[in-house]
Amino acid sequence: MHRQIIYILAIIPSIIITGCSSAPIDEEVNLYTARKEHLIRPLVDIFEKDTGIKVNIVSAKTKVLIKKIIDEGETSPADLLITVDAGNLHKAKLKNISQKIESEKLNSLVPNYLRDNEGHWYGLSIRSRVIMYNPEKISPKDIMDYENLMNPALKGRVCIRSSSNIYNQSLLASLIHHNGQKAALEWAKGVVDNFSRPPKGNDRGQMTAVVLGKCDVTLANTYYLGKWISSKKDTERDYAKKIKVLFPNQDNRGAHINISGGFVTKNAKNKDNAIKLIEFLAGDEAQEVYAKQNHEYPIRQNINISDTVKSWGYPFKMDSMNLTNLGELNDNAGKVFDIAKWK
Amino acid sequence: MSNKIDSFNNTLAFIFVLIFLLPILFIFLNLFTATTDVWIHIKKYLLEEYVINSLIIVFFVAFFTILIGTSLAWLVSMYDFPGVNLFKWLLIIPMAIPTYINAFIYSGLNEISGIFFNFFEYYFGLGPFIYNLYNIQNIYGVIFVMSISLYPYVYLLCLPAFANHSYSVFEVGKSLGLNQYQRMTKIGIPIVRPAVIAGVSFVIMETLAEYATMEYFGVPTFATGIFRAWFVLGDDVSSLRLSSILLTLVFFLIYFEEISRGKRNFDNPTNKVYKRKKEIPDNKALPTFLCSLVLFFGFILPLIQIFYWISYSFEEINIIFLAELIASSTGIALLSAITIIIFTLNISFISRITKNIFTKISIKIFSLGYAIPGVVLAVGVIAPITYMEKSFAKLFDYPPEAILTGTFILLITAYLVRFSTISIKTIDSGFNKISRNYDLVSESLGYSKIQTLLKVHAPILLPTVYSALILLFVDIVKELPMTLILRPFNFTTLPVYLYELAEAENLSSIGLPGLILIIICLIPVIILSKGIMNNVKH
Repeated sequence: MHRQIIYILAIIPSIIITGCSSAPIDEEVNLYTARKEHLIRPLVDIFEKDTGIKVNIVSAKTKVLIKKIIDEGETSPADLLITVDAGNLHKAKLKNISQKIESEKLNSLVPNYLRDNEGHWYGLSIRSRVIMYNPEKISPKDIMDYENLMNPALKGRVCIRSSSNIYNQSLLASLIHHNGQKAALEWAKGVVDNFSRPPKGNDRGQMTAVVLGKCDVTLANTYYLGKWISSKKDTERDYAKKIKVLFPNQDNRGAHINISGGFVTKNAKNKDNAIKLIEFLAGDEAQEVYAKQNHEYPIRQNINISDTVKSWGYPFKMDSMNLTNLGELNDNAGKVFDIAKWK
Repeated sequence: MSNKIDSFNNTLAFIFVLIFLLPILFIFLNLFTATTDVWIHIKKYLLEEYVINSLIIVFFVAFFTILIGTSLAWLVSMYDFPGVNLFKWLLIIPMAIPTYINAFIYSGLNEISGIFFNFFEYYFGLGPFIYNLYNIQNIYGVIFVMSISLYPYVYLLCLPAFANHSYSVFEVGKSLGLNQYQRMTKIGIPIVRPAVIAGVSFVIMETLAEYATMEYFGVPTFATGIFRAWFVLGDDVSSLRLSSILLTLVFFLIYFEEISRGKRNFDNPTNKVYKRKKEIPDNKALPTFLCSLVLFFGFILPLIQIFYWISYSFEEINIIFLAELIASSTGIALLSAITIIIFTLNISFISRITKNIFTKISIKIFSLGYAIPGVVLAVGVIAPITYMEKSFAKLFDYPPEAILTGTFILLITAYLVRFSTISIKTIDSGFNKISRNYDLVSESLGYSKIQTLLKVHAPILLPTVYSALILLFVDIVKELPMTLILRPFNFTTLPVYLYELAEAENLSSIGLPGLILIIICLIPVIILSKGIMNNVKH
């Protein structure tokens, strides 16, 4: 008798909780995002207010989300995925979980080289992976290009994060694209020889290491410095003053860039709303909010950027290779890193 | 009457086992598919490292948790020294800090928002020196962080074992002329052995399944290998093969625990506890020092760092957002814990009153869940469910649609599979403490089995159920990988948020949400320890 009561007590809340979560709402769109929720949320709030479409969000690492969409298959609730790095977006396309969309608006909003040539994925912001250095220890003349990082003069003065990081994989993919696999391997070997320590920690960790004298030069995405400059913490603002940004390869192909971007999933149930959300994110209003808040670069140069970002130099010369190549060369980049023993 | 109940119970058990077995079966079924290139690659280059690292970590974490857990329990149970009553329960509280938070904290100590770094920078200008001095992100760091976070599980189980087994045995030992050392080896150790084995097998499973700490410290083990194979290399077969190896390992572990426990019966025949004077150690300062040392590294130092982070990122705090996080974290944990208790109470009771082999085996199977890394279990739940959803759609001819995918039911099911072990172990040990004579007496007085459960077992079991509930709550509220993968839309918990902060290279913002999670875990731990203390005092 008592047991049955306990059963009922346990079942009621679970029914309520699941009932609430699956209550039907006419206009909605389900978003899987590898970008942190607090970055996406302010934009989503504007979108919800403008369109009346409710956006449901789940965030996780890119690889987890992509695998989840594959495993869920036809029944996947996801309508679109937003993530970083063209390599990831291209892999999703190869795994057959994205679909081609036709939107005049998107084609005019997103420049050609920042989107998939078959209309699967679209870039929504630009980030650049640049050289950062300690101006007291090193002269910018010695590190004008990515290629310079392999110079024997820098022995024991370079620190860069692990090769398992997709930003490094994409940078190497761009080197493979421009200079060929053999030259890229030599580069990777040369850089590994110059390491002051085995790869450890993230981009901010490398920047800290430069400031604190563990090494003199590193590779990092620009927005990490933006975060330091605008930090509420004294230490981080102090450190930001001790490190300088250098956009590499300005005299030739331009600095390596990458994107954050999104695609509509193959089995999207709310395809139209998903396209609307991507169009919104590519539009002027969202671009300005997005670029300013996270110190990234907008996909069109007519958009205002934050003063911090401007102070490093903008516009700078960007490598205009088609980003699809980054995805296609990702596996090769992984192998080159392994052979070069870049941990 | 009783036959009807038996068949009802068996059916019930069967349904439970089915729910439970689906994900596990799914994992093992993939063993029989063809070998992939990725598997050959893993076997050639990675497997050795996974095996060696996992074994080293498990061995040393087990060693240190036993060493710390039992010796502290022995000290506070047998001796009188300054602060002993305070230490007795203070030593439990390090279990309120999730392992991965300790990993973040100990990595952060000499980073730029760390107390070590800032202390030396401020007073001596030696910040960079400290920064470059040490690096905890290696296998030794993993062993340290895991041991200091997990020893309370051994300690907690040893404490009542020392106390409840009537002091009379020690008195008898003393009167028979055994010295201190002999009393420990000849009486203390045999009495506490089942508790130690239960505690340490718990620790080992937790260690084998730990993902976040290993990943953060960059030490490749089975758990990270399984994750890597599944998500990075995109090869389910290899990932599931690694999982099956891990599960087989755990099978042996459980088997070993079973045989080492043997047929010995440690029931206290009288349930009476004699009051007894504690001994005063020769060197009073030593036990106080040892207890303080463990407490310092397990709780005080991490807490100081947390408070430092809070002072560091005070302006960023968003109260409403944090309140939402607290509500969702505690809500889901409580609901799941109650569900699991009801589930396991049934299983334990069925296994006690029926002698049939099926229920005995199912208990063994349930004990496996805890060893399955959360990431793998999550996918083990998703896959059969989506398969069923698709089949239903085909059967009834409607477009495929998510019915259970992305709901709380899926998440709770995953919790159930993973955490039943905790509750089963606790409740089972509670049942074992109830002498079978009670059942016989109760039967002879004409009580049915259900009446026996409600009128005889329940009152005795209540404290056990209570502590099982608390253990479950704590484990679920801090669960990370499964929640991360299976959570429904618009649902974030504290651990998920903390993990995202650490991922976003933003350690100093961990302060307040980290503290809140620790406090949430702390409240039940205090209640639990109080209950145990009352039990122990008498």
